[in-house]
Parts: sequence; C-alpha cells; structure tokens
Amino acid sequence: MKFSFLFVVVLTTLFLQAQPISTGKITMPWREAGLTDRQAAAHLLDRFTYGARPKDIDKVVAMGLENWFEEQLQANSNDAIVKSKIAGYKTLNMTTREIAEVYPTPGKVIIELMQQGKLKDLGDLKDSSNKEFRKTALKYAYENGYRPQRELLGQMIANKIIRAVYSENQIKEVMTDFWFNHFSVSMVKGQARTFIPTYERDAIRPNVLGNFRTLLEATAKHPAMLQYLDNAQSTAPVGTPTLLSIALDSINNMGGIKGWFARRKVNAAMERGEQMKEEFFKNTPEEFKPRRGINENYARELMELHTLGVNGGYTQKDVTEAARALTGWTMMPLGYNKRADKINDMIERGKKIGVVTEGDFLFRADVHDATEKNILGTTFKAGRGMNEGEQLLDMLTAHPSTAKRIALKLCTRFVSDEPPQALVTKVADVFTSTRGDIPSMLRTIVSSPEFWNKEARRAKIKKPFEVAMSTLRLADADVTPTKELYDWITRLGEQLYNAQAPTGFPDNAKAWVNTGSLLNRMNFGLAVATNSIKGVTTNVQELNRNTEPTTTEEALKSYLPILLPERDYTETVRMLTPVITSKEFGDKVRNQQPTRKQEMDMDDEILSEEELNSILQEKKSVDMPTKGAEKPQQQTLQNVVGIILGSPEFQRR
Amino acid sequence: MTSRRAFLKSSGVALFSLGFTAIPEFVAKAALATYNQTTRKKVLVCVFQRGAMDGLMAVSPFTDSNFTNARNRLRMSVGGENGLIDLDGRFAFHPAFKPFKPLYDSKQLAIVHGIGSPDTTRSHFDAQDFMENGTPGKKSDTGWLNRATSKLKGTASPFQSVAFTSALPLSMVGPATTLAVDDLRNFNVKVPGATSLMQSSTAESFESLYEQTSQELLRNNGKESFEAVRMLQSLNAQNYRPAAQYPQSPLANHLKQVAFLIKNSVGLEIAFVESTGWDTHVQQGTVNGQFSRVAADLSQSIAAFWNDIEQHHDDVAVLTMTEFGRTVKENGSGGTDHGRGSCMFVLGNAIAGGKVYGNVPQLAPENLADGRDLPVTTDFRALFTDVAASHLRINNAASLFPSWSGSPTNVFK
Repeated sequence: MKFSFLFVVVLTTLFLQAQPISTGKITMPWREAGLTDRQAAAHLLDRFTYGARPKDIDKVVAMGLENWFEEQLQANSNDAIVKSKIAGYKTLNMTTREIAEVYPTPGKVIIELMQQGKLKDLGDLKDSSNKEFRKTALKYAYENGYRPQRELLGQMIANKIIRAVYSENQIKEVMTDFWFNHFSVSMVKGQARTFIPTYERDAIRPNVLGNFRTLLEATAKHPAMLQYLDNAQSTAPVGTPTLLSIALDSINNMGGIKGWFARRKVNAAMERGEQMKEEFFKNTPEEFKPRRGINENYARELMELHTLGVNGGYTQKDVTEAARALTGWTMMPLGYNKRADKINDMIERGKKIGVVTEGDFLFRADVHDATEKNILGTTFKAGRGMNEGEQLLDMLTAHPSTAKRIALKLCTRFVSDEPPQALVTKVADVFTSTRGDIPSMLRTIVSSPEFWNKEARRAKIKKPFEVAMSTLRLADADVTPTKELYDWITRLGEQLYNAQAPTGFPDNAKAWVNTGSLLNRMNFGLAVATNSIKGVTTNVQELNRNTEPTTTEEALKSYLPILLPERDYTETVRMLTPVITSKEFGDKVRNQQPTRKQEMDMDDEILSEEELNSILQEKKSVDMPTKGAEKPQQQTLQNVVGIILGSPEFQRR
Repeated sequence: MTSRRAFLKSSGVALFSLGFTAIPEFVAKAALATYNQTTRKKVLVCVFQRGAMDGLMAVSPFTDSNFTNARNRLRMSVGGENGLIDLDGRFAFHPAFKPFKPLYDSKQLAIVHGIGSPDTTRSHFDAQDFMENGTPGKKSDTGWLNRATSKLKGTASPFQSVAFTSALPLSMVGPATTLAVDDLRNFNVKVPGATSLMQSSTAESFESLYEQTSQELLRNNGKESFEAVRMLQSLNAQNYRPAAQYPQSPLANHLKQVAFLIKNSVGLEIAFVESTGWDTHVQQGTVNGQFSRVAADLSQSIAAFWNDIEQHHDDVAVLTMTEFGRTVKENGSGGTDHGRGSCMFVLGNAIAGGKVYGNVPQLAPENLADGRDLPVTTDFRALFTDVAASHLRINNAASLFPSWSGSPTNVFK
C-alpha cells in the first residue's frame, strides 16, 4: 500500500514535471475576432516586430501567420544585412576579459595611476579642468593600449539599433529588449558599464527564447549584474564562519605528522596570499580597498524585480538570508593580465575548499557565509557553497508569484497595459507547467482570443525605442547609427542602456505620453522624413515606388497605406485633407525657397495677422497659378510623410 | 478654479490657433498679463533626490558617538577647510553643503531630520512611488502634486505645473493637467529646414490630428502641448541670461529654466526637478567621492537658483525630498545600504529657518528602526501638508493625503 502510494506520488510528479513543452502547430483565432488575414498579420507584426511594413505583411500572409511565428521562435533566419552593417564593430566579438583589458573604467585607471605614484591625491580629481592630470592620464592610457569606453558603448548601442531595424529575427530582437529590460543593468552605474555589452550578448540574447531559469542564472552570474546590484562586493562579515575558515579549523584540529605538514603548507599559502594582497593594494587609497560585509542589494532586486514581485510574499528577513546565501558570488578578477598567473594559481588552490569558476563568474568559497540560512520557509543547510545560490534560483523560479509576475509582464508587453486577468492566469499556468519555457508562453498569448480582441488592437502606445525603430523601418530609412540618432531616442524619453532604476523602463502608455514627449514624437517623424538626422537617409520617392503624386491630397492617400498599413485612416484623411489641400498649404509649401526664408521670418516678427494675410493674398495672385497645377515638390512629400509618422495613429501598435 | 480651457478661450489665447508663427505680440502679452492680475502666484519647487540620500551624512549628528563609531571609512569631523560645518552644536552639514550655510544662517533654510515614510519598504521604487503618490503602503495612479494642482485657485496657465523631466514623474501624474519638458528650447513643432509658414502649417496639421484621435491620452496631451507651445513662443527662452552662476549639470540646467518661467510670470505654481546619484552602496566617500559630488551639485544648484530669483523670494519655496535614508552603519563596500529616515530641506522667506526640526534620537542600536536605521519620527506627509497649506494656500491640504490624520509640521513662520 505504502509502496503504491509513493508510486502514485512519483508518477504524478513525473507527469507534472514532464509535461511536454508545446512545439509546432498552434492556431491563432483571428478570424473569430473578425479580422482579415492581412489585418491579423499587421496586428501580429505590430506586437512582435519593430514595425509592420507592407512587405512584411505580404510575407507573413503568404507563409501563414502560424508558420511565420514558429520560424521567428526558432530565430535562425539569415541576417546578412545585420552582419554586414555590424562588421566594423570589433568589440562585439571580444570576450569580457579582452574588453576589461582594453576598455578599463576611469576608476581603474585612477587606481593604477595612484599605485604607480602618478597621481598623489584623490582631491586632484575634483578639479576636472586639471590639465596636467588629464595629460598624464591620457598618456598612460595610450601607452597601455587602453581605449575610451565610449567606443565600446557606442558599438553596443549601434548594434541594438541595427538589429532592431534590419534583423530578420524580429521576435528575438523584441524579446532581447524585453528581457534586458526585465533584468535591467544600466550604464548609470560606472562599475557595471564595461560589462553590459557581453551581458546582453552572452547572458540575455542566447536565452530570450529559451528557459526562464537558465536566463535567471545567466544574469545572476554575469559581471554586469554582479556589479550593477553590488553582489560582487557582498561577503560574509568578519567573524562569520566561511568555507575557508571551516577548512582551516579542520586542518588546525588535524593530529599527527600529517596535520603538521598540512598546517605548514596551508600557512605558507595563506601568507603568500596575504603578501599578494598587500602588494596589490599598495598605494591604494582606503576608499578603494575591498571590505568584508553583506550587501543585500542584489538579493532584494532578485526577489522584487526579477522573480517574485514586490507583493510576492517575502520579508526583509528573506532578503537578508538570501543575500547570505549569495555571498561569494562574484566575478573573476579581470583586466589584471600582469598578475593573471598568480591569480589563477590562487583560484586553483581555492577549488579544494569549494571555489568555482564558470567563465567570468567566480564563486569565492573563502568569503561565503557557511552558516545555515532560512529563506521563504526553507532551511538551507550550512556549508553548501555555490549550490545554495542555485537552489535559491530554483525556488524562486518555482514560486507561483514568479509565474504570475512574468505572465503579467509578457501580457502587458504583447496585449495591453492592463491585460485581462484570465489571460495572465493562463500564461502563468504555462510558466508553471513548463517550468519557465518562454516560447510556450508566447504561443499561449497568440493562441488566445484576448490577443486578437478589438480591445487589444492598437491598444498599446509605442515606447520611445519602438517609435524610433518603427519610424525608421516604415520610412525604409538607410540607417548608420550616430550619436545624433541616439540623442533623439533619448529625447523621446528612453536613454538606451541608461535606465535610472533597476526596474528598467516602464511599459505603459501613461509613463510615456505627456505634453513634452508628444512634441518630440512629432518632431522625430519630421526629422526622419526630411533627412535631418545624421546617419539616417530616407527617400520619399522610392518609398512610394517612384510614383509621383500629382497633388498633395494624392500624396497623402498614397503614403498612408505605406506608413500605416491595414489601419483605418479615413479619419486621418478627413482631418488632414482640408489643411493640405487648402490654397494656403500649397502656397506655404512653395514659399519655402531659401531666398525667401529671411523675408518670411521677418514678416512673422513684425506684421499683424491681418497684414500678413493681405500680403499672402497678394503673393498668391502674383506667383501662384491655381492649386495642384504643379506636382508637389520633394519637401511637400517629405512633410506629408513626416506628418503621418508623427500622427497619433502612428504612436499606436 | 477657472478651467484652463475656459481661460484660454476668454483671454484670446485661442486666437493663436489661427496661425502658429504669427502670434500677435499684443495677444500674448495680454494673455500673460491675465496671470499677473490675480494675486501673485506662489511657486513651489520640488527637488526629488532619487536613490535615497544618506541624511546622516548630509546633516550629521556629529556629537553622537554611536554614530561616529558606526562609521569608519565614512567618518568625518567638524571644522577645518574640509570638515563638517557645525550648525547648532549637535548637527553639522557635510562640507559639500557649504552653499546652504548662508541660507541657514539667514533663517531662510530649515532642515527636517528623521523624516520619511511610515511604510517600511526598503525598495527604491516602492518608496519613491509611495512618496510621489503621497500614500505610503498603497500605490495609486495619481501623484500628490497632481492633486495639489487641481486644488490651486485662480486661472490656470499651461505652465501651472511643470516637471523638468523627459517623462512625467509619478508625483505629477493624474487628472489635472501637468507638463513634462526636458528643455524649453525644444518645445515646439520643428520641420528642419522649412520656412516658418511651413512649420506653422505642419503644427496645424498635427494639432487637428491629435484633437480628433480616439485615443484619449494622446488627444488630451496633444491639446495641452499645443497650448503650451503658443505660450512659450511669446517668450524668448533661447536668450535667457540668468542672474547667477549655475554649475554645469542637468539639475542646474533645469532649475535655471524654472527661474526663467518664474521671472516671466507665466503662471508657474508647481515645478518638479530631479537630482540623481544618491544610491551610495559602494564607496560613498567623505570629502570627495560620490556623495560629495551629488551633494555639491544639489547645494550649488539650489543656491544659484535662489540668487537668480532674488526678486521673487517672497513667492517661492523650495522643498527637497528623498525616498528613504541609509543605514547608520556603513557596509562592507565603503557605502551605506537602504535605511529609513533621512532629512529634507525647505527654503523660503516664509520659513522659520536656521533650525533642525524633527526628532533624531541617540543612535544606539536600541533606538534604531530594526536595530539598524535612523527611525522615521516625522511622516513626510506632515511636511508636505505644511508646505501645501502654508505656501500654496491649499485649503484642507491634509486631504491631499488620503487616510492620513497626523498634524502638519510648523516649519513656516
């Protein structure tokens, strides 16, 4: 009886755990929602790409929406354009170690300068105009082959923009943005900056369409996160037993000649370590020396932001205990190639007491709190080293609050700012049953009626990066990322890789739509259409397949389906037609010749409305024949395109 | 209060929509004059110090050995060129707050210490949200400054409540109209390389589109944008020459623009600016370092702003706020972790300044919150209510903070 009971339990458990991760055939119920194939394709593309171009809609309809989606989840389409566009960005292929060696933080340069006696006092730095110091620092950097960090970070930003605009694997790009933002690290924190490029490339990107648990651990162990949320500095306080102190105790208690030899060996090794430390931190100001102590920043955000959510059912005590379990999770010492041998030697010896290395991740057993912990009601037995942290990640992933939180975030991104609770629950259940399989959750979303409902369509307001990227895609712009383009995205409100808080950027309309930001959105559309952003080239004639509209009204009607495919723009036409077909619009457009500019500006300054109008009347009768007799000029077309790109309809997806 | 829309219609500002660039000067002047006819506007300038300022380093209880013993690498002493600046024999400014000393001495600046939220969260985002909502422990979708805006009397200008941020801060989110702008100079529709007539027809096109969109958020904000653009055009923001020397920083640049709006009497009543970099977990520093840098920026920027608007001191108050304080004891990384109470600064002619308000106990472990943090002895709502009532003259200001029943502070004369 007992046996069979156990048997059932085991079977049930197996069944629950082994529930197959769904692949392949899904059905998207758009016809039930009253959509045509093209409308459905446009909606799907609006949500899962950086902009639905007419040619994309053609393609998706031709291959079938479900097939397109599955192909995107595989994310192995050939990205020849991306490859050629990013070919010159050498840092994209460098390892974290290589980057740390070539692109040191200013802080590291300062420490090195101080260690070599080239900088005496930190106070010297206060005066940033200190030319003498700047010279010394630059010379030192040059001699050591150091390169400025802005080069590294510029290439990272360029890579993101190029991929968003050109990649054939659009869902992968959208999900990379989503998960990077969920596990947000930011350039705001100087110590983390150097590691963000490989964080996105190695920890985030390979896992965005994989498993949540894998993703979570990849972020937890990457130098960028370890630095950003300070876990790299979190150690057991002096006096707390560590794996090292326990090992030392047992050697000290070892009897006989064997014990004597062991002690001799260990003491010598410890002494060498101390010497090395002393030598290393010679001339280093107190403020830069590492100190022992718990830092609970990561443990807190791990629970609050990455997994459970703020009301997910944990206490301050759980945070502190989790921080203790994570003590010793740090990064390999990088950028110290001159000392690499000694460091490696020390790490190798450390492996005997539980030191672990995995790529750039280092588990330091010597500073890991080896006492018992209790987290979320579970006892973590003392002295289990790195396994404790991994067990914590398992627990957090399995927690129902995590399933709910991730489901809510995905539904908010892909459905609406306040997604239907039934859908969130459905996706959360899939998270639980598949143990965090990301494609399964996405399939669930697009297979649900809630995704295709009238309420969900055009319900999302694009966030700034989405506005910018969809503008570039829809305008078929040729893009070479520049500082100017980056600054534009910042002005729209989203300074890439610079989220102010570990929450990342918000994903709801209220956070992004305000009076100031709307003007910037309009201006961005105009700037792209008029080729006013360095690195961004559009050709409005080509966009229109070189069909030259004969009137501004015709221009409007020909560009709307190109820029707002499958949208209802009767209202837009109705509103814009009177303005753009009025005599004034034609005249205003033609009054744009540079020679006139001065004159017109002056008119504006000194004339009253009435006087101005009378002059305009006069000019009209002299210069201009009837409206529409001439084809609209290039700038008129650009302006029409700009107005559509800046229109309220374009802000929606 | 007269609704903004009604005001705009009656004052003739609506005429502007006839043409964007050709704003008849006299109409603009007339519109601006309307704001000045009523009693002079009181202006509240809020400075949010994001990241949680270590109030104990800003205004140190330097005679408390419990405190000085809890800090080792962060310990500082009073006096000398780089030492703490003694205020009253018990508290002292961090040297980076030197520009605040004359304001403290002239009794325009008050400090409220041990202030914070009754909610014990140590999450930045929750604590900031609670403070901006004005509802500790409960999140809502309106900010306290937005609720304050809707209670202001008199005619409403498009620049009544302005946040100098790229996105609207939660404090200003809600039904009342508020404006977020990063830089006043960029506040217009711009068609690069086009004539001003082209600009104006483009702006008209956008205006009609945003007026008609079915998306409410876009529609309402669109309308407000265009009204604000018209107001601003009649001023000459590009050529503003401040009457004081500001440091080079985003905070200073934003305060400079607040001063510009105040001096041009455009009807500004609530301004919001941000100061960042206070989350000093690692290498907080003493005389130099991260804390010192951000503190110097804060104090220099506010002092410059105060000098810049000298003619308006009777009408302006500055209030700083931060989501919580930091641990009494320094951590293993030469920094401090998330704590509870911090301190806030209030500046204005009506302030009974030159004094440290609030209750800071001896920092022995048994007096600390959770045995580690400066306890919150003044609810931030007590100070905010005082400011709203005494400075902005909002009736029943306590109602800005639902379910709060405490008494306001008395930092005003």
